Amino acid sequence: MRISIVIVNRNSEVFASKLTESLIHSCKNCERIGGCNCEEIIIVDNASTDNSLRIFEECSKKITKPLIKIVRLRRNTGFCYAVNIGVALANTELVAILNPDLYVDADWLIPIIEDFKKHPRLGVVQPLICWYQNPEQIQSTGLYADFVGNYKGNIFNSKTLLAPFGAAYVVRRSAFVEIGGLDSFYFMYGDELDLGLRMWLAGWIIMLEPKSKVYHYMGGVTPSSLYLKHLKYLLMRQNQVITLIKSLSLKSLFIAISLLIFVNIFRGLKSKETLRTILIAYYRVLRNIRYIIMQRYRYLRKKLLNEEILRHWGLIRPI
Amino acid sequence: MKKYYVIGVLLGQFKLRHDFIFIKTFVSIIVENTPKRLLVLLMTPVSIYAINYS
Repeated sequence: MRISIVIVNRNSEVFASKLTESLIHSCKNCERIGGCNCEEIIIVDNASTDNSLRIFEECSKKITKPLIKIVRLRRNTGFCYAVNIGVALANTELVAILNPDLYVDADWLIPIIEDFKKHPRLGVVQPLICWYQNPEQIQSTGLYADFVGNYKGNIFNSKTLLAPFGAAYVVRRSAFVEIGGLDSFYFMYGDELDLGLRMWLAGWIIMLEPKSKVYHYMGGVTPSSLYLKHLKYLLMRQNQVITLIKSLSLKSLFIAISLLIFVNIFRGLKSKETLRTILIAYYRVLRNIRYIIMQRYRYLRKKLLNEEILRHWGLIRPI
Repeated sequence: MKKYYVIGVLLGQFKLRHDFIFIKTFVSIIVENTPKRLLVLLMTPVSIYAINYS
């Protein structure tokens, strides 16, 4: 099986060299032991202002296999748009989508490729994500969600997941293209739940591969300021509503949105800032409602299952 | 005797009704779904089981 690696870069100077070294090493290992062909590493740069791009360019000059392709975007278009560009450029059966603030285990690809060979309806596989600072500790074993789209952890350590953790996952390219890729309107945050729901509803399976490990630095490339904290909260609230509108049937949508408004009123009571952010998020959803409804009807045609079945299979958890 | 007879009839009707609902649901699943959806509905739980318990 052939695989490409897509990395969305944005000011990741600190992590760039360790990431590329570990990836090149893992690709060689994968070809030697696993018998798979790691063809290219595609770096989509979201208008970085630091030296990270230069580090990647130097690497691409030194190494011919795997081929390192660099795509420069003129402005910061967000994670989702950059991922779509990366996947469009890849011409392999599997595509690994990675954040820039991580490094990978030497043989992380081998068990994942075995899984894809074994299960033909497998759409996404997430490796075990550990902490960059403390490799012994687990950061994420995958995501679940409740009926209103709030994230839940994989507390039962189940191997099937509702959604992968956005930092690192491998997709089957045909499945990714079939469901229409990531929604570039999301910009970032909440895109993994949307991807997971749409994959399941189109009949593709998502699983965790605990034998494969990557080490992620949470928020390593996102500057921590108060403004960005609010922006993150706004995008999460906005994208949660959009995901519900796009994926649920009308009856469930009515119940879920009513419950979500009720939950958000309580959230808004905590502070004025939170209330303001939630109101802005809802305003942005209403302003773009035409686009969201168009997307809903686009996905309805590809829907093979419904959320009732996912709840019955234990993928959507109670609130 | 008459009492037991009535209970028997009621239970029989209850069973018949359940059988009817079961058959109706089974037929409606086959009739209402496209072959692809039917395949996904049948195969996905098998795959989930295989992934979780292998």
